[in-house]
Amino acid sequence: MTPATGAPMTQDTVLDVEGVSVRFGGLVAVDAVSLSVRRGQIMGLIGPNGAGKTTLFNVIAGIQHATGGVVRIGGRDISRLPPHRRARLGIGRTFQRLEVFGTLTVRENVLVAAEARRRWDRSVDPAQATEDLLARLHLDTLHGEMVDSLPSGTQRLVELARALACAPRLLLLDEVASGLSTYEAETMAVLLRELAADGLSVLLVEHDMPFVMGLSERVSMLDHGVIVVTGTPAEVQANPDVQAAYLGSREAVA
Amino acid sequence: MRALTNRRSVGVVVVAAALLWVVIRSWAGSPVTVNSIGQMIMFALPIAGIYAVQATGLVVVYSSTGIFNLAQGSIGMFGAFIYWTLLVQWHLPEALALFLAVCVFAPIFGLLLDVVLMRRLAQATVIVKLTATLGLSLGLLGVANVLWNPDSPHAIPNLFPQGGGLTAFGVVLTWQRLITIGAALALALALRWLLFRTRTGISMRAIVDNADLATLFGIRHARTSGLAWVLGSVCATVASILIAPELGNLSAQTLSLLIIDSFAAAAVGRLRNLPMTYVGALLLGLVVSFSSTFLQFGGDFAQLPAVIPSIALLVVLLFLPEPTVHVGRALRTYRMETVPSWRTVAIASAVVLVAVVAFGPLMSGTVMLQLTVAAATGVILLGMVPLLGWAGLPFLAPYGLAGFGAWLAWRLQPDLPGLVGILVAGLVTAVVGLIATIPALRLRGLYLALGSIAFANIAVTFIFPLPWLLNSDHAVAPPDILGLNLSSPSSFLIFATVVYLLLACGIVWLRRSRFGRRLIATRDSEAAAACVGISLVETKAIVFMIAGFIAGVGGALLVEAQQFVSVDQLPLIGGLSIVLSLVVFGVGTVSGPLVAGLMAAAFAVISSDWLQGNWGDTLTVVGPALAALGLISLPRGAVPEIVADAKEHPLPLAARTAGLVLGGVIGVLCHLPGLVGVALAVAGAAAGGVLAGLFSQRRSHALDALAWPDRPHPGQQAAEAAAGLDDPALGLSRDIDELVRGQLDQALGISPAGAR
Repeated sequence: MTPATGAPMTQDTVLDVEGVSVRFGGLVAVDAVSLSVRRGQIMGLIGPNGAGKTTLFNVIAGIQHATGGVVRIGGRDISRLPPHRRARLGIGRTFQRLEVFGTLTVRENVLVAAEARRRWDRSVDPAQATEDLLARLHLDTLHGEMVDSLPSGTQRLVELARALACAPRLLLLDEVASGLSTYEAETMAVLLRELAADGLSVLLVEHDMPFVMGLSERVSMLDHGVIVVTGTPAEVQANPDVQAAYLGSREAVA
Repeated sequence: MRALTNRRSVGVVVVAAALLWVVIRSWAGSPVTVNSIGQMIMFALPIAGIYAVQATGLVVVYSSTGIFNLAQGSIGMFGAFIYWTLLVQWHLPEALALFLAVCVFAPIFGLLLDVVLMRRLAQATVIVKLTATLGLSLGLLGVANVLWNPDSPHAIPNLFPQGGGLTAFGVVLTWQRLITIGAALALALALRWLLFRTRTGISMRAIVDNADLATLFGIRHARTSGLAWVLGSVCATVASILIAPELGNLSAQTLSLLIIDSFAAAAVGRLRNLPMTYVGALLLGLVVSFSSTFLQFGGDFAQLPAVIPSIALLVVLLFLPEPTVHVGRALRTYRMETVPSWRTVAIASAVVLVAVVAFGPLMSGTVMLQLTVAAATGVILLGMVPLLGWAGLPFLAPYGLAGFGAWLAWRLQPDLPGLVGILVAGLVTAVVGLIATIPALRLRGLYLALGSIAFANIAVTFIFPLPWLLNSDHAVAPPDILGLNLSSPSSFLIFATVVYLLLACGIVWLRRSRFGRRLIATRDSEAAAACVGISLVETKAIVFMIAGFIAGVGGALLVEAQQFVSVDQLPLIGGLSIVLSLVVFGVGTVSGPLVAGLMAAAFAVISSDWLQGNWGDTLTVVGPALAALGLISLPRGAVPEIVADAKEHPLPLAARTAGLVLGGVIGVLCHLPGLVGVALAVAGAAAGGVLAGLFSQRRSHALDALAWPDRPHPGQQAAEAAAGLDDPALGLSRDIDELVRGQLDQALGISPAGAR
C-alpha cells in the first residue's frame, strides 16, 4: 500500500482494499485499486460514469469476483467469502439501481434484514430494531406500504434502513442521494454524520458533488479503474486532473 | 472461495468416478482402434448436427428476446407434419415441399408467434415466460394430434431415398446424414454472416449485450425479436425434417420432447454463445455416439441411453462457472402471492370440508375417484407453491418428485402402514428433491427450469422403470389412519381433503413466518438478500426440501387413491401440464393447486366421458392454448385476479357465473350434446355479462381483460411510462421542450438548468 492511494493503515482500519483488479474479457474495469476506510470515517468515491466505482463496490460486497487483490474487513481477509458471509462480518450496502424487496412492505423489508442478523447476533430483537430504524428514518408512517409502489427517493431510504438493520461496521452507499429532494438529502447527510459519530464507517459513491464534498472526510477519485487522487475534499477539488477528467470546470464544483 | 473450489473438485471426482464406473460396467468389449474411433466420430457428426441446429434455435430466441422457448421441439414437429402433408398427401415434388415448409411456412409461423404471443411476454417473470411457451408446446401437440391422427402412419422419407453416400472407416454416411452435417455448417456460416455483416444482426447482438442501451440507440426490439422467432422456427423445422426419417413413423410427442436432448448443448453455450453451443452439440454427439459404439447397456441400465443427453445437461449445470449474484431485479415484480387472513383460511377450509362430507357420499364411484385424484394432484401442486410462487424458482417437475413418494407409499406399506408410511415417503422425497436440484441450486432460475425438465425425464424414463422400483404395476391397499379404515372411496376423499387443508394451512403459516419473508426477499432481489446476510443456497435448499416433502405426500395419496402404482400415473407431459395449470390459476395461492387439480380431473372426465372422440381432443387442444393466452393477460394467475375482480365488481361476475351455471344445467338436464351444452353455458355467461352491464353503467373490469387487442401491452406501457418520464432509464420517446426538461431535472434530482 502506497501512501498516495489511501490513508495509512492503522489499528482501527475497518475496510482495507489492496490491489483489487477486475477484468471483463479485455476490459480492465478496476485496475489494482487500493484504499482503506477507518472506523467512523466517511470516505467519498467519485469518478465519471464507467470509472469502476460500482464494480469496486460489488467486489467489496462479494457480488463480483475480483481477478486479483485482497479485501479485508477488520484485518480479516474476506476475498473468498460469499456475499452473505461478508454481510455477517459487517458489510452493509445500498444499490445504485434500486434492489428493494418490491412485494414486501416497508416494515418487512427492514424486518427481513433484522431477522437475518439474529443468525449471528442473538441479542437483537428484530421487531424492536425494525421499529427503531423506521422511526429514525421517518419511514414509520409508511410501514405497511408495498415498496414497489413508493417513489424512488423513499425506496432509497428503505434500502438504507434495511442495510442498517444488519448493524454493519461498514456501509457502502451507491448514489444514495440521487432521487432525493434537497431537503431529503440534507436530512440524509445529518443522519450519516450521526452514524459516523457512533463509529460506523461509510464509503460513499456519489455524483452529487456538494453532497459528497460536504460530507466526506476524505475523497478518492476513480477514473478508468485507477485511483487518480486521494485527499481531503478541498485537495481533490483543487486537483487539476480531477477538474480535467471529471468536473470540467471550477464552477460546477461550487 | 477456496472452500467452494474444494467442493467443486470433490464434485468433479464423484461425477468422474460415477461415469467411469458406468463405462467399465457397461463396456461392450469392442476394440478401441482407429477404425472404431473413426466410426464413433462418423456416427457423432450427424447427431451433433441435429443438436446444433435445435440448440441454435433456442439460443437465438433466448438471447434476443429473453424467452427460453420450450415449444421449440413442438414448432419443429409441426413443421415436419406440414412437410409430410405437402410431400406425401399432396404429392408435391420434394424440393417444392421442402421449400414451402422451411422457407414459407416456418418463417410465417415464427413471425405470427412473435406478434400474437411472445412480444406480449417481454415484461413477464421467468416462470410466466416458461409456462407460456409450455402452453404453446402442449397446444401444438394437441392440434397435431387432431390434424394428423396419431393412430395412422406418417413417415417422412429420406431426402435421397435411393441410398448411397460416403463411406469411411467401414461406415456409410448416408446422404441424409451428410445433409444434416451440411445444414448445421451452413446455418453456422449464415448466422455468422447475419450477426456480423448485416445491420439487423448487429442490432441483435447489441440487444444481447445491453437491451436498455440498445433501445436508447433507437434499435427496434420488434424487428429483432421477429427475426429471432423466424430463425428459431426455421431451425426447429429443419432439425425435425432431418431427424424424422431416422425415427421412423412421425410421432408428435417424440419430436416435441426431442428438444430436451438439445438443452445440454445450449447450456454449454450458456444460452448465449453460438460457437460454444456448437462445441456443446459436438461433445454431446460424441458422448451419445461413444455410448452406442463402445458401451452395452443391459438389465437395469437398458433405458439409460435414452437419458444420456439429460444426464449430460445435469453434468454441464454442475460445472457451469458460478455466476455472480444476479443484480437487477425484474422490471416489474408482480405480487404473485396472496396471503389470506386466518379467517379466510378457516372459512374456506370449513366450506370445502363440509361440501366433501355432505356431497361426497352422494356421488358415483367414478366421480369420487376423480375428485380424490384431484385432491392428491392438488397436494402435489401445493408443494410447488412455496417453490414457484414465493421463492420464484421455476421447477417444472412435480411428478418427478411425486413419483418417489408414490413408489415409497407402495414399498413401505408392509412395514409402515398408514400415516407413518405417508410421512416417511414425504421425508425421503424431500431428500430426493434436495439431491436432484444440487446441480442447479447455485445457478440462476432458467437453468433450474432446464435441470428440472432433465430430472423429470431421467426419473420417468430411467429411474422409475428400474426393476427394483416400478417396472410393473402393483396394487396399493388404502391405508388405515388412526384406526379408521379408508377403503371406501368417500372416506378416502375426506382424508385426502383433510391432508390438503392441513398442508395448505401449514404453508400459509410458512408464508407468514420469518422464513416466508426470507423467500420473498430472495425472489425479489437475490443481490440484496445476500447483502443482508441471507444465504441463497441454504434458503433454496430448504424450500426444495419443503416442496419435496409435500409432493412426496401427494404422490403417496395419489397411488393410495387409485389403489395401484404404475409409471404411467406420472407422465412427463402430464407433469408439465399441471404446472401450466397451476401457474394459470395462481402460483402463489393455496387455492390455486386445488383448482388446478379439479380442472385436470374435470378435463379428464369431460374428454373421456362426455365428449368422446374428436371433440374431446379439441378440448385438450384448446385448454393449453387458452391457458397460455390467459397467462399473458392475467400474469398473476386467474384465482387472485378473479378474487380481486369480484371484490371490485361483484355484480357482473355473479351475473356471468349465474348465466354459466344456468346454461350448463339446462344443457345437462335436457341431455343436449356436449358441445351444444358448452355453447349454451358460454352464451349464458355472455348474457349474464350483458345484463350486468345494463344494470351498472360502469364498464366491467373483467371485460377489459377479454378485449385484449385494446389493452396496452407491456412494451407500450413502458413507452408511455418513459413519455411520462416516470423512469428516465427507459429513454426518451418525444421531443424535449422547456416543461419536459423541468420534469426531467426533477426526476433526475438535479437543480434546474437555468439556475446553474
